[in-house]
Formats: sequence, C-alpha cells, structure tokens
Amino acid sequence: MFRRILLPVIFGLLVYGFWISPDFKQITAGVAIFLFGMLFLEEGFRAFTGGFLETLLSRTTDRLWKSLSFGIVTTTVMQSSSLVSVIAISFLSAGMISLASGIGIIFGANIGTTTGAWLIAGFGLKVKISAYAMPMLVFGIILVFQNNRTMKGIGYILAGLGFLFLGIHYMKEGFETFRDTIDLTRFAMPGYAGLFAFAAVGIFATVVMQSSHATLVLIITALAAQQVTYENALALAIGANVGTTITAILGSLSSNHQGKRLAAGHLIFNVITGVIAIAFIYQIMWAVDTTAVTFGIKDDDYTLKLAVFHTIFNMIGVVVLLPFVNRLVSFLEGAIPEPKIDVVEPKYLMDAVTEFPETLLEAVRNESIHLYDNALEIIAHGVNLHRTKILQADDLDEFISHDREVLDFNLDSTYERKVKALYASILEFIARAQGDIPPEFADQFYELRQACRQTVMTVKDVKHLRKNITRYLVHDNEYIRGEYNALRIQLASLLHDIEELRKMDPDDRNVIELDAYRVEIDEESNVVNGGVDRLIRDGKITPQMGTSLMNDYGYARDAIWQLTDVAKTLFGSRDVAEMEAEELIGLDEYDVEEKAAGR
Amino acid sequence: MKLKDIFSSDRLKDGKKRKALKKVLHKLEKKQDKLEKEFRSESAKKMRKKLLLKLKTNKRHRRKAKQLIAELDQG
Repeated sequence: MFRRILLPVIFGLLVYGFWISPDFKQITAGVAIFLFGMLFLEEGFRAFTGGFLETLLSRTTDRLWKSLSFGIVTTTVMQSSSLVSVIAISFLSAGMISLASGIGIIFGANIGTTTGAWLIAGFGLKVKISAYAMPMLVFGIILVFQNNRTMKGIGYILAGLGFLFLGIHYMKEGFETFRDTIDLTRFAMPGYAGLFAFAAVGIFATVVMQSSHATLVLIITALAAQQVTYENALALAIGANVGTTITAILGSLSSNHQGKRLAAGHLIFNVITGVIAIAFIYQIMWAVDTTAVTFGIKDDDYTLKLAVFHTIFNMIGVVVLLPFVNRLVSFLEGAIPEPKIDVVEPKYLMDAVTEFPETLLEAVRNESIHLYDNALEIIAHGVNLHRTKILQADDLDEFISHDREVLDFNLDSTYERKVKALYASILEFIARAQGDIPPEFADQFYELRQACRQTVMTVKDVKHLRKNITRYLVHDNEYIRGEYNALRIQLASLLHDIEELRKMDPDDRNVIELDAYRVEIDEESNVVNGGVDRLIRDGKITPQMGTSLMNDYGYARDAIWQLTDVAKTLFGSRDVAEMEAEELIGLDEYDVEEKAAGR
Repeated sequence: MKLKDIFSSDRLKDGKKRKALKKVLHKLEKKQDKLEKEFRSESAKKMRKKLLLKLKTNKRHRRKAKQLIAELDQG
C-alpha cells in the first residue's frame, strides 16, 4: 500500500516544487543528470571488466598502501575528491575492486584533496575540470555509438563524467540563491559550541556549493574580511571536509549495496576525522603554528596556514583510522547487508530423513517434484500462459490460437529464486547423503538427479524460446504466429497431460503415453515435414522468420523430450521392475528416428 | 536346485521382468480401448488428429512390449 502511493506522492511533490521555485527545478534536474551520469559511468566501467582496466585496478589497489597511493595521485591530478570517490563507488559497484581497496582510495582522496588547499593558497589557482563537461559529453556520445566495445566503454565513461559535471553545475546554479543567505557572523560563539556550529555551517555550505574547494575560498575570504576568527575558520574547514561526502552519498543512490557501503565508509571516516580535529583543535593549531614557523609562513598568512591545517588534520584521520580498515569493512558489511534474494527453501530435505534410504529417496523425490512445480510456473509464463489456463482449459488449441496476451515477468530472477536455489539445495543434499545410499538405491537417486537437471535445462530452453514467442505472439503475420502457437500448444498440452497423470491413481498411471508428444514434435512438426519451407517459398513468412522458427523448434523439442523424461521419473511407477519395463517400452531417440527415417 | 539359488537366478529376474512388462502391456491395452472409443466419438478434426497420434504411439509401445516379452519367453 505504502509503496503504491509513494511514487505518485513523490511526483506530486516534485511538480509542486517545480511550480513554485525555478531554483528547485534546477537543483532536482541537476541531481537527475548527476545520477544519469553515474549510470553511464558504471556502464562504461563494466565494459572493461575482465580486461585491461580490471587488471590495472587489481594491480594498483591490491594492497592498502597501493589503494591509498591511488587515491592520493588521482585526486591530486583530478583536483576533486568527490569525483574520485564517485569513481571508486562505480569501480566497486561493477565488482572491479574490493571494499577495502575502495576505502583505501577514499582515505587517499582525503589526503589528495589537501593539495587543492595548497594550490589555492600558494598560487591562487583552482583547476576547474568542469569546463571540460561539454566536450566530454560530445566526444563521449560519439564514442557510445561505435561498435567497438572499448570505444563504447570509453564513450560511456566520458559521457558519464560529462553528465556528472553538468549535474553538479546545475545543482550549484540552483543553490546560488542560498549562498547569499550564509552570514558567518551570525554563528560567532566562543569555545566548542562555536566550533561545532561553524563545522555545521561548513557542512551546509559544501553541500550547497557541491565543492569543498569553493567552501575553502569562502573561508579564506571571510578570514580576510575578519568575519570569522581563525579558530572558527578551521571549524568551517572541518565541516567542509564532512560536507564533501554528499557527492559520494548522492552517487551511491544509483549504485548497489557495495557502493552504498563505500559512501557510508567515506562519511564515517570524514565524520570521525572531523570529531578528532575538533576535539584536539588547540593541539592541531599548535602543530600548525610550529609547522608554519618551520616553513617560514608568516603569522598572519591564514591562507597558507589553512592549507597546513587541512593537510595535518586529514593526515591525522588517515593515520588514526588506517589500522581499523578491516574492522570498518566488517562493520559496513554488517550494517549494509547484501540484499537477500527471496529464494525458495527446500520443503522436504531434512537431516532426519537420512536415517533410512527409503525416507531419503522419498524426500529427494518430493523435493524434485517441488522443483518441477516451480519450474512449471516459469515454463508456463515463459510461453505467455497462466498455469491455471494450462491445467484447466478444456480446449487448449482453441484458447492458445486466439490468445495474444504477453505476460510481464522476469524469467531470470524467478529462475534464480525458485529453481536455481532449490536445485543447488537438492544437489548438495544428495552429495552429503551419498554415504548413506545403499548400492541398490543408487540408480534411483541418479534418475532423480537427472530429472532435476532436465527440469533446469527445460527452463533454460524456454528462456531462449520466450524471446521469439513473445515477439511473434503480437505479430501481424498470422502464419508465423500460427507456427509459434503450435509450439506453445505442444508444450502446454504436454504440461496439461502430465498434470492429468498426477491426479490419477499411481497404479493406473501410464507415463509412457507421454511419448506421443515426442512423436508429434519429431514427426508431425512443420519444421521437419517441409511445411516451413513451403511457407518461405510461398512468401508467407520471411526467411529470417523461418530461421528463427527452426532454431526455436530445437529448443521446444529439447524441452518436450526432457519434460517427458522428468515426468516418467517423478510420476512413473515406484516399483523397480515396472520402472525398468516402462523404460524398455518407452520410445527413445533411436525408436523415433528409425520411424522418421522409414516414413 | 536349492531355494536360495532359485531366488538369485536369472530365471527369477526374468520372471519379475516379464510380470512387469505384462502389467505395462495390460495398461497399454486398456488405454487403447479408451482411446479408440474417444476417437470414434470425436468429431473435431484437431482432436481426432491428436487421438490418432496417441493411438499410433500406443500401438508402437504395445508392439515393443510384446516383442520384449517374446524375447524373454525364448530365453
């Protein structure tokens, strides 16, 4: 209920915001463009997974000191710790680096960012890479349209960076009006209260301006105009260091749990560093003064002293927290767990059943039927049919021939949740119980294992089939639609008959009658009896349609042969001699091929 | 021949096999009667085609079963 109304409420609030404030529109558009840039960036890095970049990254970040150096160097070159942290989040989300390496990069970025203060203080220079946003976008998008995978990857990265800068630019523009409201003299308070208040202002100013460098410039200006005391200016710098994590937090919104862990790690590191700096502010100030004297920095050259302070307090943060990286990793992994896929648990596989081979066999059989039932849902939905329709419809031919409903469902995730996990549990259980299985039961366990494997293979065949079945279900060409419907009818009828057999008394069941479906697909199909060739010759379907049909016929055939085998094992006789008799009488590939050849 | 030897002999195994084959054959014959009745009373072309296919498959199964039983009888 809450989820259903959440999206309309958000949309309503946004529309109201757009209506009353053009600045709000600009800020939210900036956030949207920024997140879009993140998606592009991750897509770009994904193109390099398993290649050169991954090797390079794994070599340059496999040790803590290496990832630390990586963060220092890249931030010094790019002059943006936010960008480096966002890129680290992308690397991590794409599975190219470990969380510990990501934290190392973030630590390094915090040291690397202090070079910015030196550049501003020493040369009045600020490297503004956002000026490259537009060219990056243009070159990036051109490269995205290339066929070469590497070029495409570079294109995505360039365009991603371009969008990131563009997004930040719009956010800054939108917040411009708020900047004038920051009146630093209003927060003048003595002692630690003042320090915390100014740190909060520093956080706010950096969030608003989306740049700790911009905040540093503001602090230097305020210091020169004597709007703030030197002590409070340091608190502002501490706040700026915490506020700069907002970009990483924003970037992590579109990333997976690993990206969120890194953004949280970044925030924790910067907050702890900030708290340490405020707690020992007077000692750090003494260290700054001593360093200033050593390097001949004038007593009133607050700009350079701020740069010294920035460097010292970030170094302290790294030195203090470096020994706790592994603990931080464990904490983050615990605090932000990997989202659990809601997998189906085994119903019958319990240690208690391993006591006797008969109970063990029964448990594995029941679990295999459980697996089949879950697979049945995917197979039915895969061919765009509801299970209830397959099981209840009196005339499946008639119903399917006129049915054009495409079912919206995610086959892969359903397979992961309902089939793959269960199949893995069955395999694991049989492997563990191997020692308890007497030789006379071994064949039956083998058969059940085979049935499970064939069930899974059938789901995979249907996955391949689904693409064209869905495509041609809504196609205007009635001939190709008819051919695909014929495959759907055969699969659905087989599933229907299997269910009918299940309802019968085990003594009356005659599972080998399902062989009729093997004969039908191998001997009666239009693909094998030249019907498809005729359709192509008469121009009723295109050769491309014919090729697709022939390929998909293979998947449908495999599915039908496998399903009949599965049904024979799971729902056939339990008596060993009768099972053997059914197997001997049943039609195998050789029998059907022989008949087809003699036709 | 001792009783123990009779139980472990191929003759007993063949006997079990023959019994099982005959049971399946019996089921097939019952099914054949049912299918023939359905086929005679069915008027829809598609359904008749389907039933005919089932009848043909049943016939192949029965032929195979009879052949297997005959092989066992011949030893």
